[in-house]
Amino acid sequence: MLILFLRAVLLYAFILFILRMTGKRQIADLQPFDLIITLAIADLASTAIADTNIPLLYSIVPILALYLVQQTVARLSLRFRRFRTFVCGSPLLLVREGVLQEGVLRLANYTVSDLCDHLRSEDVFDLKSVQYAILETNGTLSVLQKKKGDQPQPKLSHMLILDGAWCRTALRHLSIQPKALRALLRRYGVREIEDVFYLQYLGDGSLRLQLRERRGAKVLDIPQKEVKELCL
Amino acid sequence: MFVKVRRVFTLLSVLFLLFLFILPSLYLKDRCAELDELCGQVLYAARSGDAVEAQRTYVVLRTRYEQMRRKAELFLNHGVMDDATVPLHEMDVYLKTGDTLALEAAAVRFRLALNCMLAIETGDLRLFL
Repeated sequence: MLILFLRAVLLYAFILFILRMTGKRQIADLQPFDLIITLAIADLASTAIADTNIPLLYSIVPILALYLVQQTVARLSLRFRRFRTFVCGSPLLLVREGVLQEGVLRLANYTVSDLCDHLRSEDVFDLKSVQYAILETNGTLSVLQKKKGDQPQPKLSHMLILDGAWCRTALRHLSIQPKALRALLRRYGVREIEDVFYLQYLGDGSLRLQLRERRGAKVLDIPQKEVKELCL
Repeated sequence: MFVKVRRVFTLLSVLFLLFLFILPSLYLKDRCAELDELCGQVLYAARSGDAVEAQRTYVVLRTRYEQMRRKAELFLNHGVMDDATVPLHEMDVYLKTGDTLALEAAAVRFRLALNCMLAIETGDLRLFL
């Protein structure tokens, strides 16, 4: 019995350390590949805890293998955007400017009732007050509510450059020419697109940019009037 | 700091796994070859009617097996080890009773169990699927 207790304690410490190393703190943060690893690790550990016929290595080796796979997938996801989209999917816009996107709901296997359930958990009780609703890759729903009265309605922010690469879908959606944007960035001292960590189009029509660490991680704000000239 | 710790841990994990892929299989290969040879000597002595030599070789075989077992249980399922231990103990009984046919059958089971251990550790493709 003491052996079972000690094995459980040892494996608990090992799993705690492994999960800490993976860098995730709660289930809500988990991407699909993280979730698989977490469930598999739990199952592998419980087998070795209860059965003294099985050496601890029978659990430790597969857990380490899963950890290495998870680290590889996480690194590849950071490095290659397409791989990240393949593994994690991309956020889905379920409500755009107050209009439910039927095709996107079908794509996400989401019914209107599911959406209403999720909205209620975000303290939103009617669809009328939703300006944007986004189904995030970890399964949570982000909601941007409409402004009341005559206030201008909020708009979504879009990433235009991420990790030194153009986000062409967003550029097309906002009708921004990469060539014109490159010229604007040159005026702000940014020579290469690869030096940009991110460039975000904000809801108020301005841009926010941050350079990579090797370029001093400088943050720049580009005002609305300069951005307007970019749009076709 | 955390990134550094993670990198070191990842590197250590890779090294530890490589160690486990290489050393146990090399150790088992050596020991199993030695045990197989000793088992053959026991059978040869028993077949030629030299009971004293057969018993003496069996004691060496058993001692060597027990030495290996203690280490192998750290990385092999204990059930797999038992599959080899039981026929080895049976061999002792058949040596004492002089039942050569039963002794040979037990020796075959012992050798098969050794092969199974080797297959697990050396990455036999039959066990992959």
